[in-house]
Amino acid sequence: MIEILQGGFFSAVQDNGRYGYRKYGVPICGAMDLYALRVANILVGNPEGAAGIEVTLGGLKLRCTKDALIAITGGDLSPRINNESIPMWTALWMRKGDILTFICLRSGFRAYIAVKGGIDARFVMNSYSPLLRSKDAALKPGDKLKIGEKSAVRMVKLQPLPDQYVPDCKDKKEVRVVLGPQDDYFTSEALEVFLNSEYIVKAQSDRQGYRLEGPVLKHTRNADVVSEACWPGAIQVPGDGLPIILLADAMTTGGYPKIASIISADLDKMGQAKPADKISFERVSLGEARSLFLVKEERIKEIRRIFWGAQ
Amino acid sequence: MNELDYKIAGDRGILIYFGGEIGPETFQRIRLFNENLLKSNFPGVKETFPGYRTLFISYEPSGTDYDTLVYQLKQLAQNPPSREYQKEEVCFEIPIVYDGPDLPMVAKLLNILAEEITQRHLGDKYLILLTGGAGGIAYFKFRDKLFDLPRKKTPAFIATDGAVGFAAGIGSAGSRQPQGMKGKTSGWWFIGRTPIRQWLPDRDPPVLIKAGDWIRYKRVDADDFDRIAQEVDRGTYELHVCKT
Repeated sequence: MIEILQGGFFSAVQDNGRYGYRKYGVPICGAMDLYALRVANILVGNPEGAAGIEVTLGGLKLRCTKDALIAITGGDLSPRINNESIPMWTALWMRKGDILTFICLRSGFRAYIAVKGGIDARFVMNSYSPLLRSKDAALKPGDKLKIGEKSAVRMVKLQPLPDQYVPDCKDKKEVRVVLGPQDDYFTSEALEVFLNSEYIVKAQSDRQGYRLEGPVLKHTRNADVVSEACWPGAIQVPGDGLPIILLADAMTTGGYPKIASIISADLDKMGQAKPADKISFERVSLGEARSLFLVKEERIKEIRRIFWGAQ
Repeated sequence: MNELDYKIAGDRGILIYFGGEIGPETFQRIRLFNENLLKSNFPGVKETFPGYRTLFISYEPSGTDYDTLVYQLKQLAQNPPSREYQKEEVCFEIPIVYDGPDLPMVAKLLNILAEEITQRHLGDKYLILLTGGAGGIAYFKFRDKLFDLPRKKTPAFIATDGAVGFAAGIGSAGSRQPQGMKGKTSGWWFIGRTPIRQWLPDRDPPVLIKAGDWIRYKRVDADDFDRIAQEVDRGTYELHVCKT
């Protein structure tokens, strides 16, 4: 059992998301930095989609009521056990009664805790991720999280993740995009501005979307499209011309033109973006986006081979 | 028949645009295409999501790529395994009290009596085209041009629970809000309220009224609202099927 002593800014159970329910208006949800959650799970021997805890900004304080093998990945929120700094990107044991805290943000924005066995939270519509509007989404003092026993756990080597697999978390983020589906709603100057400017993440940014401040993008016609599907990574531009990046908890439909979408391989970077960070966009082709996705998946397979041995 | 338009929707999605008016005919074309697509089991297809005039298809880039999938979709459009969309049509009665906060303003803007608005709202049945937005809102398109009134210039806070509204020709069945939520900010015009709950997160599917269902409003009074609301919360309320 894990006892929550303080919830912090915003901490929640997350897995790799909920698929198949968008047609009913249910967002995908899931970890904002999926790479970090997947790697954390591999490090403790869990299936990659096992539920862990997403800690945003910091302030989370929890206690284990029995020994547990854990791994912390993602942004550096200064994790400590019994007030001693602990390494990230490696599996380590928390002993019964140990207290884990996240004191302050050093880099990135979201840290992930994987626990061997996974978190056995409420399973709704094929996912452990809380529904956007459920009252119990944010962890709060007194919450008790069960550690799963059913999920197939593997024996793992307790060693740190090699450096080349640890992503760097810079405050300045260059993300790659594919244009469309409504890039033709914008003037060619607007497309130039979009691809050659620096935007700043506004404070009103959360798991649903990041609002950006920067040069205004002019529409060639009005800023309304017939409401249609939205997806994580889509960059919509409402009438005021300021882009909004939709993310994990994004609504399933929306009526603003989407100038471009962040490629899957770079979405995890957005999960580590915090207010005041700088974002710039680089255009790639769909083919390049696919190659980058496959390379990233291959890296995850390599990590699995390192920690789980030949499969 | 309108040509289909295929567009890139991120690096793992395709949006197919179906031409034509939003309404039952386009709805059926999209649904038929979707059913044929799901039967085809193309590799890499993860999830599909029909909209008012689009079909969104999400795919796994490790299982397919855009060009392959678009080629398969075009083939499917030319040679669909099934050419007829068959669904048993059900029409549900949605209880409504016409005491919404915006009713007087809508009457004033349109320069007609409030009673005429309610009569025309009651006067048609509506096909639910999609459930979406934030949590399963059941949307439909009005045939009556009265309801084409554009959104409010500035979205306003609405405290009414179960508010039923419209804007720009689109309406929604209406729903009381999940427990713990109070009010919402919206640009829609709210003319009534319903005691039903559309969002049922503990059920699968998590919505009461689904795309493809028809609805017709049935006027009730404030006492009926309270009684039905209690039945809904006890889990004993069943939606009435329309007689016609």
